Amino acid sequence: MLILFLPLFLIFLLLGMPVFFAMLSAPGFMLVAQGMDRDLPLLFRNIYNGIDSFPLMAIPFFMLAGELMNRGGITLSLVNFSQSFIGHVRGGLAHVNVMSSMLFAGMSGSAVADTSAIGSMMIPAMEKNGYSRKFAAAITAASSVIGPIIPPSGIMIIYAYTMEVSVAALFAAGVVPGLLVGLGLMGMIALMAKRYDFPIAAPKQTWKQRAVAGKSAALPLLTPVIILGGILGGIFTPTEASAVAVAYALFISIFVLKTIKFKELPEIFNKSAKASAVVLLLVGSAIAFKTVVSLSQTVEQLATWVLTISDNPLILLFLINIVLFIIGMFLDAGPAIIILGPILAPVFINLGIDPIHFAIIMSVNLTVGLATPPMGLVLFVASSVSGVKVETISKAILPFLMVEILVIFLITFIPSISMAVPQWLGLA
Amino acid sequence: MFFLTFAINIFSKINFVFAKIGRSIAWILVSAMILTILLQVFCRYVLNDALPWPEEVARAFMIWMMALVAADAYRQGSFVAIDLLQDMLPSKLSTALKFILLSIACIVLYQLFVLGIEFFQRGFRTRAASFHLSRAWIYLAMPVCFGTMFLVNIEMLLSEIKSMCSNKKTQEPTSC
Repeated sequence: MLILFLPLFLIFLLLGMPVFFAMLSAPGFMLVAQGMDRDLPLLFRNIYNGIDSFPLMAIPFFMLAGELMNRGGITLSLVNFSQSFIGHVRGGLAHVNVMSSMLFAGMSGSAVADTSAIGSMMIPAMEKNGYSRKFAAAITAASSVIGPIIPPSGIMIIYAYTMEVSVAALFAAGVVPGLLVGLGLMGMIALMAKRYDFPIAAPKQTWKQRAVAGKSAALPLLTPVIILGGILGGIFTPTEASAVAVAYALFISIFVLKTIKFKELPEIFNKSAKASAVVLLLVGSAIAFKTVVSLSQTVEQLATWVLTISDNPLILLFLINIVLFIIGMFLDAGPAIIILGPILAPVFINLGIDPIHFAIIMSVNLTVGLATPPMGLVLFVASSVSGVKVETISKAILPFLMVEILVIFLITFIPSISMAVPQWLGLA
Repeated sequence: MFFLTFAINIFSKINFVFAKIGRSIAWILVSAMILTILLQVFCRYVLNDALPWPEEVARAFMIWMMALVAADAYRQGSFVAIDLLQDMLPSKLSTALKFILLSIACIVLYQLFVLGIEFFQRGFRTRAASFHLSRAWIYLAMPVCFGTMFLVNIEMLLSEIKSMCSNKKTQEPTSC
């Protein structure tokens, strides 16, 4: 009977109840209805235990680092650096947009930060260069999903924590899929550039000019080296690396670029504190939710049901990708991972899928969902940055979504795409 | 209607004050978290002498940071929800649905607040592992978090009732 919390939870969710309340009220009501009130303090304790976590502290710090980079004008040096290398090809600025997103992804773990940082700079520049505004907004939204795939990644920290997987292994596993999404998008731009005669952004730069652009971007470009090198080299924990990233972003923005003043810091810190509070409460509720999932034997019953569909993991992975993609259309990646991770991951791990591989499939799929209509978060951010309607961007983004869907299936059916780096580093 | 408007104004002022207090402390806690972690890294790698307390202290700062700004985030509608159905429904039905959902949220937050108080009281039995302080002072963040969210929820609920009475769409805050 306790398993009835799951349909109740879905009903609450579809009616528009915030995920945090739905995750607590559905199991809570079922526990009371079953006369298991004595387990309510256990539920509460698990919310606290879920929040009281050192690894989770990386979330506010990476959010803050992204915000500081964004406000500190670091994006400009990344764009200039990208343009010096790829601005001369047809469709140059569109390529620059994607390449800047890939570089920004190495510093921030958020697609929203990527969209607002790159979009506010690239969309007007692309329009001036002869692109339509809707195309510029669409490629910005599509490329921003690379943010949470290439490490660091807020979504992967949440997944790693709720599902007890190594953050370092997940970060390592995200590198190649992230690059693949970026290269895939650039491939699509190259195809479209020929067909629609996209403009060239700038004449080909000499290596000397590239070195100058590289010099001004050198300090920001060191961020991913510090973060990833520190974590994968075993020097820092991900949380320590995130704090170092904040300190480094503060140093560059305040003392080197002088784009942020001390008096602006309380507002910037509070913004990331608020965003983090929402995520922390969600994770806390997910840990409580997970307790009821195990009390109700949901996973076992779901596994039995899934095996009636097929016992072939490849077919099931294909089906689950479709389900995840549809869910990603309506729900943000973080909450979706929090809700579905504890239910789906054990089923697929029991079927022989590597936990890291499944984590990447789920993370990439739901991250792409951030750019899918009707509820994709980055579509709304791109719309507010560009002034183009969400519906218009939704149509223009379709070719890029096709590329991202293709990458999802490549990642699903070729495990070495995500597993090679963590295995090489001895993390999986 | 007069009493309803009066009550909404009272709750709105209380919530505004709590949010202001929360904001003025939260950014200091974030700074303290960063400094604590950096100190940990510095002591371990530079002085080769790892301190025992930074991790636990930083966690306590984080929990209090969350507690102090969660209500403000809730008031600003930052809690993720699928509001597709609410947008599709006629305004009367949508208001009624929001009222029901806010009522459920109210029950949940009240229960969380009560459980939080019990949790805080139990905290006096244990001390933090790495510094001399009762864990209750860390646990206190939980009833503060859910208590302030409860007050915000009441303000939102009253606004929804007013909206139902006047049969108009509510102004801010509207999000459930």
